[in-house]
Amino acid sequence: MAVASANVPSGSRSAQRAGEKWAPWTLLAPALVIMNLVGVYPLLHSLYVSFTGLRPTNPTSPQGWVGLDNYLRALSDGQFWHAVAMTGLFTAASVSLSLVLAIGMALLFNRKLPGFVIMRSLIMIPMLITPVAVGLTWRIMMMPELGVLNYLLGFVGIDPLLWASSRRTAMISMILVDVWQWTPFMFIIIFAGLRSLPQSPFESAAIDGAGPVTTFFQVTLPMLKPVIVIATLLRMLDAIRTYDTVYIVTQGGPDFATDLISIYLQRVNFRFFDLGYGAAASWLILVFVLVAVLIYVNLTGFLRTVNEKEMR
Amino acid sequence: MVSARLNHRLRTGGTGAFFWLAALSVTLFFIFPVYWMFASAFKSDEVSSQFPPVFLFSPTTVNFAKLFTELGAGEAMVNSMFIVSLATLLAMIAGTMAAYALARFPLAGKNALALEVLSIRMLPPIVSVIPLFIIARFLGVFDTPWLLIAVYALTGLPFVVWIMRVFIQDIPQSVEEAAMIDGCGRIEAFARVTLPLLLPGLAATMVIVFMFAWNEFLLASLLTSSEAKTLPVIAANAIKPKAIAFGLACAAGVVMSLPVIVLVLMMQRYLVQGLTLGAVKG
Amino acid sequence: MSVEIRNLEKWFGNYHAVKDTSVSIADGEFFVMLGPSGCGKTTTLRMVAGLELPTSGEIRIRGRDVTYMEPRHRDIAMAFQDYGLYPHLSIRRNIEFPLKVRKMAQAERGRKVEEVAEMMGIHHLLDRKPGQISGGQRQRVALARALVRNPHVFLMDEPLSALDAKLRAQMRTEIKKLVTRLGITTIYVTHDQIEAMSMADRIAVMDQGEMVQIAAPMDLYDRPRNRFVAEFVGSPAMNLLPVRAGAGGRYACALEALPGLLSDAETAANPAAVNGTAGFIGVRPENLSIAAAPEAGDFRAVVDLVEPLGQTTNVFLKAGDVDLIAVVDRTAARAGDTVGVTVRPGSLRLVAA
Repeated sequence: MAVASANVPSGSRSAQRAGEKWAPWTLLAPALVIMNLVGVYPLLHSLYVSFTGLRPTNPTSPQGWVGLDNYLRALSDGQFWHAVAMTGLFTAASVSLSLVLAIGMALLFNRKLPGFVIMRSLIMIPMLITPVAVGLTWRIMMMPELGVLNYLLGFVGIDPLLWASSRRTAMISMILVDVWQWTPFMFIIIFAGLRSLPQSPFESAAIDGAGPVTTFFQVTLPMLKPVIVIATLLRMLDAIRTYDTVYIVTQGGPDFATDLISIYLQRVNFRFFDLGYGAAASWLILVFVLVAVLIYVNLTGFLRTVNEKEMR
Repeated sequence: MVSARLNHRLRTGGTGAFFWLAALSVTLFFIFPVYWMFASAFKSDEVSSQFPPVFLFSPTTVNFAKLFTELGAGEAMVNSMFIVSLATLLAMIAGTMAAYALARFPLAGKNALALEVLSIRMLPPIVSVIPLFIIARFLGVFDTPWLLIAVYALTGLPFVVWIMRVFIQDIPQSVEEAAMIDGCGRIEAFARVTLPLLLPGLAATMVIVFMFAWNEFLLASLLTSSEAKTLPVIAANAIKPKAIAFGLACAAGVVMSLPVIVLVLMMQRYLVQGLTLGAVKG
Repeated sequence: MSVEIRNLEKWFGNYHAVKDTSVSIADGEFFVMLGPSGCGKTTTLRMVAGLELPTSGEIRIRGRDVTYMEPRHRDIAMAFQDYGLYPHLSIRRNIEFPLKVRKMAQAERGRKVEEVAEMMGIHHLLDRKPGQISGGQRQRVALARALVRNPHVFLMDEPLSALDAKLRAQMRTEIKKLVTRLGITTIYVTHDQIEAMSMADRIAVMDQGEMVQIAAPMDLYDRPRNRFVAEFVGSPAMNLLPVRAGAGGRYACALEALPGLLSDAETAANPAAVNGTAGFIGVRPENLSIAAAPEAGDFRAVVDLVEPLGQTTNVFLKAGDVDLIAVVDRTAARAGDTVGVTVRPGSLRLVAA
């Protein structure tokens, strides 16, 4: 092999090849920079602020380190808990309503009838509309005197409603808007899931003599579970942070009936500039969301679903 | 139960007409407000403040004109375009690079990384708005497009990373390896083989990232004051202290929503996969 | 030497995928790495290709150290299990790709593509996309793409495993003819012992990251070094009966008649195979024959099941507690019959555990 030694590559080339070890990190670098600079760093800063009395508009209050004061204040603040409760109610109602509706719609549209393809495309549109525009449109439609909704209700003999202008119906109205905008999201995901199910379990269920109800609960629903779990999680996370539509339609009112946490925090931070307190409340919310997600993940086996996907 | 029965009747096909009507009414429920927004945008203020509401009217474009003269939609549109395009581009490049690393290299701690990316998707934006506000003031980028570009690049990132990771995994590794054996270096193999195969996925992801940034209101309204206002921010101004300018508001809604509707309907095939971060295939 | 592998090691984290492997492959040799999945054969091939970097060791192609060289500088071509065709390019562009990347002039590229397409019989497919042709055709295209630039070494990673049985047999013959004619050194990875036997000049049987035995096909078949090779090569598998070295150089086995039939040459050549440790006496099924008369033959057995395959017949036998299988031309024996079994002289082997 003496002849060959002339052809041995220079050390630099093997070094260059060994440098491939760093290639993935080079590729990850820009994303990591953005995530840590714009995502993680502000959060950590907010954690620091949450332990201070920072309140730029009120120089008389202590601006420095206040320890856990802000957290204790938030935990004993009725407004804070009210916002948390309203958000919980809003999220639970909106997500479960759209889930049931979406499953029903998916089953309904899972037939090949004329016009269904175009209907499916039309149904998708609400989730594409800018939420601000959704808020504006619904606010106009829900006006008690001039709104088209009360006009339409008149046809089926229902008295005009106050919609978002009344304490009693404001929350329901906002849930309606949310369901309207985001059921299409659940629908197209569950529909896609339904379409991708294998046929054989349905055929063997039919051969085993299962009726439609049994088939739905014993075959369809269990097989759709992974898709439903994912769609519901994403929907929940988005419902918790709802801001735009509610801000446009009610601004949290009337009388705080629709005071979701996003609205509440916006008021604390940008109306009262109570920044330290706002940061503490934000962190509490983060912890709540995290706990909620963990509970959900444990209950539904979400990670198992994801891992199975990974195995593919 | 109801839906199961629906399913059954659909299966038997006996009452097809009934289900066709059910589907139609569902469609009407979802499309009516959209129709109302579009219709109101073309009504004059006199027409839209009549009760009972008017369904037949002669359309006018006066609202769209007012949008530009009164609300400053022109400037906002330029802002929106500039901010959202640049942020989308940034998120696409950084995200696709990261997705490639996660999909193709064996990395310690790669799952932790993927989860960090995912948790950005979970973060309620209101939580980070204050620190962003403080930092932006400190750096002097408050009310400039750069702040929103950075923020939207961040919010777009998880979509890109998670969706593109799935798209990249769907391309057999052997195709890239064949290119490397056929004479390409890693980068050339990516450019000549992987990239062309990723184009549909990239386009679909881009539309989704674009949509979320384009529609975003909370951060845009709180992190700008006059110079860098985007379309949703000025649209919210259609709410006057006493009343709401119907036509103006709806015209703004049309101008904001139309591009997204067109873009997304073009990319429908990949929408499901995109919205579920690649977890569900359409 | 065409390809030389020296003390090659590969660890994936804590997993020892390839263990201290050394082998030299001659110019123009058809070398097959055979083994079950996870035995390290594909990893070894990928290290030769440069798609995986070894933890330690050295790879030389034509005497040149390529251990850490990029794949493109190694003068190799490769055919993949899933073909690795470029889905977005036409067949013509697929085959042309390696030439184009190497900046060959267009006219010459065209000529070469035509030439190799003619040779592979895929000329009529040139303007289609990979998605529009069948699996067998795709494999031809993959071969064409590999061969178009006259590589020094041709690597094949289970190229036929995605094809159906009939097509596989056909392509097997074709590939063998082709590379023999072109005289290209070929390293071929498979888990299919028939492919290995029929194509290889030499086979390396791999198990748990090690090359257990490297030999010409018939040598491997006739003299498997250990139980793993004996069971992996040949179908139906070799009959193996546990054996112990007893006192005075005699072997003890559940089938008492067998040790006496061992040839002197075998016991002389292979004492180490069994001495001290537990080993086996092995006999290939086709070296057993059966006679209707129980007295005829070396020992008796009861027929358990007869499995006619047309060309040959598998006869499952029970001699006492010992299960055996014999492959005969055809037989009138039925299940339950007691038959006499004869061992072809000189065909018994001592096999290490």
